[in-house]
Amino acid sequence: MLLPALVIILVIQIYPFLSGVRMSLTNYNLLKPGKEKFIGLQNYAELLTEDKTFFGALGFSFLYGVSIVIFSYILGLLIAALLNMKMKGRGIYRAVVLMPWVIAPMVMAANWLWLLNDQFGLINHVLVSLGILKKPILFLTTKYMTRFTVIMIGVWKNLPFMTITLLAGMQGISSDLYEAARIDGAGKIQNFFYITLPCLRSVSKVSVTLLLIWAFNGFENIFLLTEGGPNGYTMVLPIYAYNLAFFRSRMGYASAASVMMLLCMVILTLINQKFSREAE
Amino acid sequence: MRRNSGKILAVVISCAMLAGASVQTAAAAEKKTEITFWDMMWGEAGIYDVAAEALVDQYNQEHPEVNVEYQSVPWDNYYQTFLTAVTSGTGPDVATAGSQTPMQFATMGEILPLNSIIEKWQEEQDSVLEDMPEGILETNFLNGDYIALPWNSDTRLFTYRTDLFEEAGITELPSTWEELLDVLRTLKESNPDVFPLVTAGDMGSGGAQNLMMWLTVSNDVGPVTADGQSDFMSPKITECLEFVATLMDEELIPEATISYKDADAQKLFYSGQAAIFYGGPVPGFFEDETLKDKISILDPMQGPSAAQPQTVYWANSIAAYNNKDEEKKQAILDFVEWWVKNCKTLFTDGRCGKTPVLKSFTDDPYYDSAVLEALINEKIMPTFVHATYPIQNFYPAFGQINGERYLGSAAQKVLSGRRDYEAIQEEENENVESALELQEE
Repeated sequence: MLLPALVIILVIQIYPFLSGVRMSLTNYNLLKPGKEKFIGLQNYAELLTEDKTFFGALGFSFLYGVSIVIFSYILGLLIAALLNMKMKGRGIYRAVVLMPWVIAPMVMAANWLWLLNDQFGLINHVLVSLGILKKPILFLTTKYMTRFTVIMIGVWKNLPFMTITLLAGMQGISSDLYEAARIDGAGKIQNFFYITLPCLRSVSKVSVTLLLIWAFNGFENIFLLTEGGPNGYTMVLPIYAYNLAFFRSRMGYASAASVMMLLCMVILTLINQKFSREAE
Repeated sequence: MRRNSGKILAVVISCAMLAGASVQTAAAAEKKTEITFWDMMWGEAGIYDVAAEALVDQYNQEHPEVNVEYQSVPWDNYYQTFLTAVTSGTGPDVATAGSQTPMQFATMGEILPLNSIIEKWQEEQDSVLEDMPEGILETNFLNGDYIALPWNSDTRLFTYRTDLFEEAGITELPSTWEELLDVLRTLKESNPDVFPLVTAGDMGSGGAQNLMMWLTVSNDVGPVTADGQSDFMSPKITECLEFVATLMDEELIPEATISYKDADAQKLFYSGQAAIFYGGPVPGFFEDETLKDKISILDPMQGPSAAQPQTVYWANSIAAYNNKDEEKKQAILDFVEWWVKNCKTLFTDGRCGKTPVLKSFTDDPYYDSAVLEALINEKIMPTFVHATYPIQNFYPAFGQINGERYLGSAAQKVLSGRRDYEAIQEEENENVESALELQEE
């Protein structure tokens, strides 16, 4: 019974992974067919000692991934707590919260680019028309503003996942616990910190780990908004590896960058698991 | 019963005969040589692809022994589409694609050389050779082989508002960078609410790259020298970067230019918020009722180190991909040759907005009323130099140098506020040198 599943996993996951690792140890270049040879760890040495763009992309990938997880978790927790309360139209609010997750990435990017444009974007138009701003905000022009903007759009995109996961966790908490706390005289804030949060620990561990992996691996959000620009300010590892593969045709080197990405993700996940265990 | 048996027998015999005839027809159909043709969306969807499909249908009717299957390919990530398909053996037999694509696949050994077509034209003294601009065939000459045949060329130009120029009292069009800066300053002074110049400055749509390619070519320099050495440290490139800095520092272009895509710049120009638009030719501007009577294009310009005005163009080609079937190879070559000679309707009906490589196409009555195309042919085309300038043909490292947009990257650094030109040039010089080294390995 397990065999078909095992075969599928081997074919679609293990084989490409091993093939990528093998390729990372070669000088495989698409423009030079038939000249592929084993070069050991040379690609890794070049990445770690000579490639400044790699380190820039690695740094921003960390910042992007970690920021998205932190902001999404805090905001997701607040929204989930609100949606967990008994109120009119709760179903509608829950559906609205899911919207960023179901919008096609291409549509999402086109809309954000229009909203953020300095001359005819809705956000700047409203702020300038109301006299709140004298000059439009250049969302995708300067280093820090561009980075902040793509992170915030990443948070907006991933918030529904965190909210719905935490909401599901909250709904699984027995009402007896809150009842007992109420009898003991605990308030809403005490309930949140001493009952809700500890009971969400296992859900949080899984959702944070998953989101960390997705955000660190995230490609389409930044690619569609800035393609890693302007001036390389928002370059992340997946886009860098893509450029190496498709513009420089250096498949071996691009594979090494991807393997490094995997290692970074494993390290991030282990750190997250360690902190979660310590908290328990 | 006997009568019924007779009827049944007659029906069976008829069916058998019909089936036999069908088998014969099917066998004849099977004999057709199947050619898969991928064509980029060179114009507006619904107009260009319809004209292209009609052209392919015409070929199929004229050549009943061949069936060319037409597939329109969108521009988004087209190189990745081609790369994945060709390397996995599911690519096209014939394709039009980005100008440098045939060179990239030729380097991989995936292109079928078209030498036999050129040799035939030369032997027969075919008029098609005279009909092409000088040197355009050589843009796709690599290691002794013609790897593709050009059928259209593409350029970037300055479209301007004649009414805003008149309002500012500008009577003479600029022919040098310095004159262009003066015009921009005058426009700004005359109408501070309108941007003097708008252009894309992003990397994704190639805005910054196109701007720098115009600057370098019009200043008689390129990222590499004619003998294939990096030329990024050239003082001529410093002049290009200084020009970009002047545009920014004097606010002659919008502050957010670095993030503008082509569509953003076009929108600003169309809405009257800009006096000059630099980018690809936009036929729609010249057909728009509110705009067509108050726009034109600027003359070609020259930089401080150039002896004459030069404008960058890209030779866009049709190429054949490697095929092991010898019989099919000839059919593929025949189709490629036919396409180059007969593609006029792609310009007249398909309105692809590009310049035809065969000059005789422009004798068509369509060009009597095609204002933009006529302006390009008359004003810009005589100053054309190829995008690979100062090298005439596509060379392997060009794929990386142009693909990773090293010129555009330098422009973006200036657009983002950096003014350490030497350091910027050194950074990009390193990239160009590594691309050239990779080519040599």
